[in-house]
Amino acid sequence: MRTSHPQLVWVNRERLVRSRDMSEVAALVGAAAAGDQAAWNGLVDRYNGLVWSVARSHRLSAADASDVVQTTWLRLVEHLGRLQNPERVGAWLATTARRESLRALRHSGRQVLTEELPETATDTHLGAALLTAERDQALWQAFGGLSERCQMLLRILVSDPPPSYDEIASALEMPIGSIGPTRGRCLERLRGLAEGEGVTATDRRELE
Amino acid sequence: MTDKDAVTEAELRAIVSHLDPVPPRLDAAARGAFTWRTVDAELAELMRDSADAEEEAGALVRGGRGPRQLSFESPRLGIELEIVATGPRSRRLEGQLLPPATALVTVERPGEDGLSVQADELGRFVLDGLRAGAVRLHVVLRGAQIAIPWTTI
Repeated sequence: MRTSHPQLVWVNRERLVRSRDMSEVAALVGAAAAGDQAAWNGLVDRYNGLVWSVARSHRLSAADASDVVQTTWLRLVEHLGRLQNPERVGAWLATTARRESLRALRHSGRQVLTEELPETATDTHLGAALLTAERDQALWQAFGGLSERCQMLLRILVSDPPPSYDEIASALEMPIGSIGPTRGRCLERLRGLAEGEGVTATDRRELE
Repeated sequence: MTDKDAVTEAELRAIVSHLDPVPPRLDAAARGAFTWRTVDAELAELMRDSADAEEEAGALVRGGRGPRQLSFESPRLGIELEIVATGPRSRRLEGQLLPPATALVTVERPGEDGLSVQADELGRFVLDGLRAGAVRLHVVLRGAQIAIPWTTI
């Protein structure tokens, strides 16, 4: 490609890396479908953080989230040989985990009436007490003040290893094109809240 | 994408990996799921889940009314399933085979021996005292094996 625009070059390199990634993933799926446990473990290493983050972003308790994660992987075992786009197995897992999380939410709701609300990662006061750095505490407190949508997006975005936008879009059932802009807005808001403990007059008006 | 955003994202990633990492036993469970790979059974398809129907109806209220109902279909058998929460983490399954037939129904779950019951001549069966979690039902009907997909109960 004949361009000297640095950003374009960077984008193309990203795409190249991404497409190589995707064919590696498809190869892992193919090998796992043929019975290769090591390939399967490779998929788990790559995507369990994403699957867990999807369940947790729905504010499921650790126990309910664990059930969702387990069901999601068992479903993939069932579907290994039948995936239409093996290179998009991450998006498939994210979609499956989202559906299972929503079912679990509605389903386990029956017992919530008599129980304490489940402890979640977004119990920000509890979380903040475990964090030592002042900056981290402020950020985590601020995270709890974000809209539910922002919390979900960011929780999934920061799963380890970092998911692709395609995977995030599947996890949230959101158009892929709106992930980038929403990410930007949510992170800006997060910084604003974290740094605004002192709160300027403008911030206060905005918050109210 | 601004540099500032990348920094904030990295900070948040570090916090979350500290506060809410994937539980190690869940990594082990995900690896172990692979042992369920070989299935001789014909896989029934989920046709309807009342939990999804409630979502479509816009009734996004925690705590649906009544038990969750699921319908599965395979070429030779339909399975109606009701999941009753008998406690915070305990469940009862009530099932109906269609057309009605006596059959051996086994509930399978990772890391445990299967638990079997006999469906009666009206095709009804009950599995009580189950822990919440991922299960799969396996039906042996006149020598044929039918499995319903993994389901969180």
